[in-house]
Amino acid sequence: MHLRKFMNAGAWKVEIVDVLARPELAEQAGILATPTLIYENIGGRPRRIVGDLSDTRRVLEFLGIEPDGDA
Amino acid sequence: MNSQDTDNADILERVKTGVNAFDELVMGGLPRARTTVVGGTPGSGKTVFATQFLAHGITMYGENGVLVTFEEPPRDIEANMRGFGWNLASWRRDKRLAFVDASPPANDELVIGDFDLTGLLARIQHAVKAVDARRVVLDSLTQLFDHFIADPKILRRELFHISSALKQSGLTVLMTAERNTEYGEITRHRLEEFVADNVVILRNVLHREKRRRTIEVLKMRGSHHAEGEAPFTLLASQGVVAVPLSSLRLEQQSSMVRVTSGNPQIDVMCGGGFFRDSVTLVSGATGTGKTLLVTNFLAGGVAAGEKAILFGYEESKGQLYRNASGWGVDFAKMEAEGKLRVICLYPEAQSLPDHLLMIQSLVDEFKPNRIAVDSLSALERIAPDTGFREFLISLTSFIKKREIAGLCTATSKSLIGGESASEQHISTLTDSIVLLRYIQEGEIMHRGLIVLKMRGSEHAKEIRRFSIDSSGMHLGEPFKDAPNVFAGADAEYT
Repeated sequence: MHLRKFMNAGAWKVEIVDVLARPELAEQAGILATPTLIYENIGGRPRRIVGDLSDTRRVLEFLGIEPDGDA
Repeated sequence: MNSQDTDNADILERVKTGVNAFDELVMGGLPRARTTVVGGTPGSGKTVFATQFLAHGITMYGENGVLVTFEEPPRDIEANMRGFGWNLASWRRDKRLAFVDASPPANDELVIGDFDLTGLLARIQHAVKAVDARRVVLDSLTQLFDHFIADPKILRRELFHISSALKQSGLTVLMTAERNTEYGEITRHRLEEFVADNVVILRNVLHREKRRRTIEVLKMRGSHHAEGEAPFTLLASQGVVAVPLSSLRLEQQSSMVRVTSGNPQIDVMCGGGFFRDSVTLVSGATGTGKTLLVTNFLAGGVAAGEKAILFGYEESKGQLYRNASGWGVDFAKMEAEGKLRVICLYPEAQSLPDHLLMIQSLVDEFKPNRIAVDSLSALERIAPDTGFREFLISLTSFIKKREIAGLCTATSKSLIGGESASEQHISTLTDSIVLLRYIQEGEIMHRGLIVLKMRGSEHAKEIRRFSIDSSGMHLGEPFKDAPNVFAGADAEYT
């Protein structure tokens, strides 16, 4: 729900995986907690955010994304 | 506390851990479809115990398992457990064991907002389905807590959820958790309050420079269990071996069959010999002839067509052989004929529970009719008090259960009279007590022998003098003036 904000706000592709339906993917990725956002940025280290992303400012900070100003 | 428990009116089905003495403590095994938390300080054997629960399930009871590891990656666990004789990798390939690798990821991770552990639960359930598992181990919860250190409330809620979900699928769950101290709060983060139907604690206590491992069943919801700490040991190629504390049951039969002590005169004093399944204590100062009585006891048995075993903790095999031949007994010949086995070991070579297990396994292998232990005092010096008492209880009841005749020696501290510390422990545990004492009469030091106690039988009450020569021990006349055999030389009478 908080994710939707980000989905529409930038030039990135978001893939949503339901761990209950695809547990083998969760196993591969080593997921413990849900929701987990795996952020893969070409050239950068993959980062993960666990939780419902309710604090937008901290999410962007952690991912190293400049806020647009309207967030 | 937990609403699912109430519908469980019928008797709980038991899941055997395969650690025999432990299963006995919990009345047959861990209850099926319940969660047990195993708490312990680092190095107390939690991971071994938990892995063994899965290993025995696979090898002994046809129950497959899932191992959820939060600490070490599966590869490391497979390597570590090889030493106990468990080939986890081959079970994994045979689809009898599945891992869920929840060891810490290398990624940067941040927690923002609320979350749950559905991801973990989904992976566990996926693994359970893949190998049709009946047993699940989570090792260790503390690691999981440290991973999400800032959100203990969420974790408790989620662990409770995972535990209930697994139980509802009929899985028997074992979770390990770290403790900070051996005696104190049950587990770090107090996990057990949220998830555990049962709590088991492993301890590794340092006492007088000796490590002592114990296992305690603290809580078992809806079920009876033995209370208190029971000793256990970690053996290569076996894992956790709990030492059966036979005080749980006093069911050994008592036979009236008499066997010879190896000395006809002592047999007469005892009313016809020792009882077959009884334990006799020979106590005396150094040099009074304890080892001679042991030698007679073994030789007398072998002469009567029995097999005998000797555990010597004070002298080497060579010394024992030489002593025996000095009294006209040929140990080497008896051993060559398979009638006798002599095991000599420094008490310090291993811990007391290990000594006990060694005695038990050798007795079960050799199947002797009589056993001698020389001496208990030597063993006592390596153990804390409680450990020694447990050892004695286990040893004496083991001897009786196997229906063999036992003879143990104890060395008293002072040369004249006095009592040894082992005597205090063992006097109530043994059926018969023979005291050997130096007794001063005028200017001469004599040796005296008394049968102090003979459970279930008449026995001579007098103190007999005895002498030792190249053919062994010879009893003489009783002492005329009764010297006080319990008092030390300089004891005061009050």
